[in-house]
Amino acid sequence: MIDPFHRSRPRGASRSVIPSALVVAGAVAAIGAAALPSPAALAGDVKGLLRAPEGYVPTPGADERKPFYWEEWNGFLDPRPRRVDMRRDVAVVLLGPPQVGAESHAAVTLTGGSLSPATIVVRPDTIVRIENRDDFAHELFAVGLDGFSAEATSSGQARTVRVTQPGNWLIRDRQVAHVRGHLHVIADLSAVATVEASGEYKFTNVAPGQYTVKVLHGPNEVASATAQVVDTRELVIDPLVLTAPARAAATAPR
Amino acid sequence: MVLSRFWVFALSIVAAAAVAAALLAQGMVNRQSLADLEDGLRRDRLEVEQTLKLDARARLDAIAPLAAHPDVRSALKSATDRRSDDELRALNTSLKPRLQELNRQLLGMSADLLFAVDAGGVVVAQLGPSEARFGAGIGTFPLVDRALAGFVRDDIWVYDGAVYRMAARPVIDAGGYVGALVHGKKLDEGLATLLSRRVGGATVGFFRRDAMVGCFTPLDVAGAPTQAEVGALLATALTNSELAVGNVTPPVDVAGRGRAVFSLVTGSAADAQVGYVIARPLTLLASPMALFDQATTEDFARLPKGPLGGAAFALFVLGMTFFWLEKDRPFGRLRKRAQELGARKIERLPVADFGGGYRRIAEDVNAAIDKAIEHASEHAPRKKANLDELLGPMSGAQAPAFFGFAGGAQDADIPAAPPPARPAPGAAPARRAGPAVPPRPAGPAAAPPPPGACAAVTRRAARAADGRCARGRRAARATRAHRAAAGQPLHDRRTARGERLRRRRSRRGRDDGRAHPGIAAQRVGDGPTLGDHAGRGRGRAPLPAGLRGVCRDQAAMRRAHGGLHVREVRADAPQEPRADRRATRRKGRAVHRVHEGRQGRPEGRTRQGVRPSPVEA
Repeated sequence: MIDPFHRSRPRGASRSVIPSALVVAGAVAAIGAAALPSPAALAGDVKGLLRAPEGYVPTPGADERKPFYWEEWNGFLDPRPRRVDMRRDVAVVLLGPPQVGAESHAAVTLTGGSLSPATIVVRPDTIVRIENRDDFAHELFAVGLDGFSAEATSSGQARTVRVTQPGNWLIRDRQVAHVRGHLHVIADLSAVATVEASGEYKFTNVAPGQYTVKVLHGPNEVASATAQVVDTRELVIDPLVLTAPARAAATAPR
Repeated sequence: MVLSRFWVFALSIVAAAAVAAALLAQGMVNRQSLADLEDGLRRDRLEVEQTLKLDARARLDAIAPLAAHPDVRSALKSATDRRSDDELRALNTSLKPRLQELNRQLLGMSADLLFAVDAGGVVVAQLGPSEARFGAGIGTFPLVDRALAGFVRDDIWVYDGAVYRMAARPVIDAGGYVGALVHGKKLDEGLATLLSRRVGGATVGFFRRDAMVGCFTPLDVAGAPTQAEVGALLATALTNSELAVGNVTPPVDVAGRGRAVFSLVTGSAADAQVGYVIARPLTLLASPMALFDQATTEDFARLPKGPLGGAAFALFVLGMTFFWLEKDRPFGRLRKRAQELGARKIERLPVADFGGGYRRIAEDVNAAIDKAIEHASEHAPRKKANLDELLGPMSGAQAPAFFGFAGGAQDADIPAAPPPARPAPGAAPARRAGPAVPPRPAGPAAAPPPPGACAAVTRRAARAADGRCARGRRAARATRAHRAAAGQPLHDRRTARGERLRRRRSRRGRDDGRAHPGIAAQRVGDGPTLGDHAGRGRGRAPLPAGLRGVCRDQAAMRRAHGGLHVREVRADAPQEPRADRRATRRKGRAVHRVHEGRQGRPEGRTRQGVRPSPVEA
């Protein structure tokens, strides 16, 4: 067969031009991409402080059934005041535009005989992984939530639950009765902060935008604030003072 | 029988009332038993709660020496201040034997589960079935959390598949809280036994959800619900709304023979549906007779036996008195009269002596006697009349040996027969000389006629029997004298009226064999005989106005009047009904026909039992 094109141009010259062009184009693209600001590069951190006033943790009311016959001071040393374990009990969330690269997994541990964290906030279609680090079995279930039924989790084992329905559910344990937790499924959840025992919290890599900071304690919203992220600079929110909700008027966030 | 019947009626009413009272008492006793049982269960529940509370206090007090022990305090102080896990391992090794020794000193309060935790809730040492992993913590348990805060507190846990009664005390050292001591006793059958004995005879059990974790059924209580029976009710009881909010359930039926109440325990384990059940047997009366089974010997001993027995005897005597008055006594009287009747001391039963049914019996007996007499008189075989017997032996002047002229006597020697003398008015007719009678053939001696044999004779019979039958002669004489005095044709004939009236009176109870006013007896031979239908028959002598003849008890009259036939004349007797008069006339005609041999009756027997004259016979 006769190939006029190949015959018109020399064979070796065409082979050397095409790869060179591709390499040059790739190099240009790489340089351009590196020169543009990435979303992560544009995001900034948001941090703040939680303060629990004295008497924030309510004591059982007279009308509530006390889970004991006797609870009395030892008579020798002043008792310690009730305290709130900010790291275990409180969740600080950022509501607003969805973040790029947001995780679709959440991790919860059972340690010391309780859930940690006890207030779990996730987006819909999130897989919650519950790991039992206690020496005894747990059997968690969410009251009223399909797909989160009671299932025994032995010591050292873990179970996963996929939550899809927005809402707020109480988590209980059929084996260890005192275990309590609350699961919040929020559709416009942007980020969940990491809370320290001292009450400090921090959101990392928050994209610029208008956000709402909410503090959840169990089923209740105990504090909230707005945050405007404009650039990569760290945004510090004024300290949030937790407000004890009314006993019978617990409001669940949307 | 009024009193007896009333007595039986009263007894029936009393018996029905007693049965009704027993049935009502059964229902009332059952209701009261059920109410008492439910109240008892409520009290039992309070007793159990108080017992558990005291038990918790006792455990809190029991572990106080452990919390204050120097070795425990120093170990927990070191654990709280530790800098590495190796120190924690060393403390665990040294503290555990010490805890075991101290736990043994608690004796009955020795723990089944014992923790020594540092100020952060990390387990330093543990005694129990499943030892905690090194470094594990229980500080988030409310019990431990409060103990680490300086409070003494109790709780009930579900730990490692078992239920424990927990108690915790803080451990204080060097002016601070260095940890806590957590003591646990298993919730098992031992506590159930203690509670059952404390409340007295109730079945007490602990459950966790739908499974029993310990139960005690007292053996000395009959019908006490068993663990299986109360366990079968758990599924239903756990759905009770009252139980869900922490209250006690209403009493639940236990297999139809008991009641049970369910309640959750006081503690965090209540959220795991850990609770207890108290059950008691329900004793219901199946029948009113079961009331006696409920009575004790003391109850029977307290019965007023004397008054009860006296009252029963008095009632018995009263009832027997009624029966004697109304049954036994008239019956005895009737029997006595019947014996007298059988001994022929009396002819009839005195009806007036009896009352009620016995009077009717007496009337019936009397009627039966009358019928029997009538029947016997009609069907008794009659002896053929013998004129010799009737007339008796002839005297020598009046009984010629033969009829004729003896020895060739001339007719001139024979005196002429005197002319018949006309009887004087009012005087008894003289015996007419009859024609000469040929000598009778020799025969047996004539027997005397039976009394009353010539009760009635017709005119023809009287004429035929004239001069031969003494009674007939007397009757004939009387009749003839009467009729002659009245200038009427002779008429002497019985009718059935007397008998009918006597029967009627007997039915009315007036014919008691005693004399009645207005009735006079008259001998036939003593005066004129008055036929009851006289004056109404054909050619018969009429009775004076206002007089009616009544035929009374002939046998008695004959005995009373020496065998003479007697007829009674009763003054002012009521007018006989027209039907009776017709019957009387018919019977009178029948008697005539019988006497004249025109009726097909056996000869010598008539409807009234009157024997015809010997001539007719």
